[in-house]
Amino acid sequence: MIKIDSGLNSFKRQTENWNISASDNDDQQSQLSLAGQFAGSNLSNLEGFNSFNPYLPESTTQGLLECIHEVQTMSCSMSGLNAASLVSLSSSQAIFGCLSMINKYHMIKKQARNTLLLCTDLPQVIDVAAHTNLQLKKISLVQLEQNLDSTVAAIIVDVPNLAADEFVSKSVLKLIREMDIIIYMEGSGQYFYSHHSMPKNVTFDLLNLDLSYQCETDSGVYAILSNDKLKSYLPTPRVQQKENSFSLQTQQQNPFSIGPLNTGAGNIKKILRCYVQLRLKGTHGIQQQAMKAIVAAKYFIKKLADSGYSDACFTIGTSGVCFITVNQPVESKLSLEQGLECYKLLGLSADDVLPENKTHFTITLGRLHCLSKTQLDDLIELFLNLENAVEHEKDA
Amino acid sequence: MLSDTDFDLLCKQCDLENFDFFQADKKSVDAELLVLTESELTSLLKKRSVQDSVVLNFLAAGSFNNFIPSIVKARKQQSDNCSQKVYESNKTTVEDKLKSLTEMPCCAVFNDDLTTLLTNLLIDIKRTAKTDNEIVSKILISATVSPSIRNVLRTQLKYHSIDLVVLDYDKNSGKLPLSQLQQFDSDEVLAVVMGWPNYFGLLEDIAAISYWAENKGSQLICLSDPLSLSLIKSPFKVADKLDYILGDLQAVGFTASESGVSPSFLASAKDLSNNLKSVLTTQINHEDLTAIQLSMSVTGLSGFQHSAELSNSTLHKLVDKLTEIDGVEKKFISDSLNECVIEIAGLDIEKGLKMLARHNIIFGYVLQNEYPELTNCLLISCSDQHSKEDVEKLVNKVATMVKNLSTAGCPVKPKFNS
Repeated sequence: MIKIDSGLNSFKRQTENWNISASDNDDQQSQLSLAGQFAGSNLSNLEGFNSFNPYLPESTTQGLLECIHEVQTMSCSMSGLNAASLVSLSSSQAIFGCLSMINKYHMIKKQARNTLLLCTDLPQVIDVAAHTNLQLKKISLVQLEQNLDSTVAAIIVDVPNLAADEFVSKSVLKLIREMDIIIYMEGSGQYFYSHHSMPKNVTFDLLNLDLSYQCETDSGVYAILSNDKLKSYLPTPRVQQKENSFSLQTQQQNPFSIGPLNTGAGNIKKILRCYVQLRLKGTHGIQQQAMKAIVAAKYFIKKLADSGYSDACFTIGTSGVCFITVNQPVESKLSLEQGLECYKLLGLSADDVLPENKTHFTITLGRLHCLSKTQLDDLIELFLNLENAVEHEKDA
Repeated sequence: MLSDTDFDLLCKQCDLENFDFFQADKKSVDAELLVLTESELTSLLKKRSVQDSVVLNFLAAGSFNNFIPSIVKARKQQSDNCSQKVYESNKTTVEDKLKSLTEMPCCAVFNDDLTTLLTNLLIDIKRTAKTDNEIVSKILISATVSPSIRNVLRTQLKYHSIDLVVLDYDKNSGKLPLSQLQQFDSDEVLAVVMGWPNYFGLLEDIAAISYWAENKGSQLICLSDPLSLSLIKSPFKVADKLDYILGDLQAVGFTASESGVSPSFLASAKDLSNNLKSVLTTQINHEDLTAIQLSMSVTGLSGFQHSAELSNSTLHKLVDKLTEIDGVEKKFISDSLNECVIEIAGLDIEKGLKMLARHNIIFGYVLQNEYPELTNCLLISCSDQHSKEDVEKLVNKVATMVKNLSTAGCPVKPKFNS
């Protein structure tokens, strides 16, 4: 156990290798996966893969295509959805792909649908929707039923924290199905892997997922996953298997597809890095890691709340990241400045945490699953005793 | 890392034991694929990579397989501890070098791939044009721009009241003729997009095209790449008025497999508008920037020039030798850069490629799928890694192929299906 009164610098020296993160959007790099990171970096550079070109005869790219196909399969297996495309290079490209699929699905069905019901606050969707002919209508989930009409193309949700039966009532879900409205989940975090909010259980039709984030590699691999209903609309080229051979499905072969989103077949190097991580850990290993992240965050928050951190608002993000919003004036032991000091103490940048009005601030702590229980307890101790520790530092 | 014992303890303390979330059905998330150890995985991937290694490849179609120094390949390690200051300095270095290559006053690098950058630029041009947003505007794109780029633009521009008009090329010269542009007399054309060099490796008549674009008030956009620009004059210097040069940075530190997904650059004649800046916000990541910066520093502009010269002199030698074979001809007369279209008259090209596959050779890209009139035509390319022996081997095998196709078949079995 670290003694807080031994001074902040001493604490800082001991925490600098903890590898926790200040961002809910950071990769989930942990000690466990460092081996995978090195292996991924080396193995994605193998000569036969480096010279890949989508125009090469497929018989000369079978090795790589098989790897991509296996990543597609594993993504489907983790989500419970039926088909995956890995061609998107950024989240906006993936969202554009999903919105285009929604649009084309209704167009082919000759359904005049152009309303998207946005049931959550997703600025990235609002930005991308401006590049389509779909009109966004922001509502809350409780208003969903009254907004369902014949112009609705899709419902966009971001509710991986909810259990299947909490998403909407069975009768509303039945209505959504009868009206042939698509349910699209934008983005996902660690909760994605938990059984009770697996996309198939929450009856999602469409999902985009930052796979590099989940596989602890650099960003650049975004999966679009769909059920059978939307499978043929996925962007091309997608790897398909026929008996024992693999091929890239082009738009000519699949006229329903929305077409290519870029000129490549996905970021091959980064897909290979994801592949390495997935094969080393297995999908179950990734699920376990997700659970650990969530439990660590829950434990951290519970301990703070139990210890009288009464004016703080705690939430857990979709990635097992814990957010602590502290309001001013602070009656608890932690003042605004001390909070920021605490943040810096953990080696995290405090640049983004101060809002303009400076009445409250949010501490974001990610990768808590990288810590052992003892380290977690130390961190809690630090938060609870920061005032004493700061005083002690001054004295020293 | 949280141990399994600690995990159980934490669950107990958080009263999470009976939460169904932790009763996950392992079978539902376990893929059919087994978890492998690092050594098993290494062996598997090495096997697959060897399976994909082709001895002789002359197919590029825009993805260049030039030599990458080993220090650039290790970019991940180089970029790991890169501070913001180093990042900014690397970015400035890269942008300055691109300015000197393009000879344009403004230049920026982006994380986006070339087609995303081009899409955003065209949308911005449409947005800032003094026309009603609902009115459909025309963007002209030459058929000699890569078909894959045109396909992506079709997907991305679908909802922007933009009519993407593909201009046919001249069948004799392989270039965009001015007459194709002259059909558009009104001010309806927002921009013209062309390649420098084009998909066939030819240099368009940019002076005439830019003169037309300037008179019609259309913006002219040129797609190019650093390797070509190191060898030929920047289109900005050749054209009367050129607004933008866009390019893929694949040739600057990225493997052929990263073509189409690597970062890109945008050079412009004037400062990027605020509108455009707001659209183009994707900062290039540290790792990719380090690769480009290392490549530009280690290789230098003279290094690019050397690499481009080597690739092109090998290509020209190859084409000269190939055209000595009866029936093999250059499809377009003009000098070609990076890639060249050759025609093998009177032969079933697919059969010919199959024959070469028996000797582990990929001759080139069959153009007929995207250009139906180019029957029996192949787009071929050489990199700085092709040796004199490689060229001789290909020429000998092509000569044998041409001969054998009119007599009995080759006795060697194919190593892959072409």
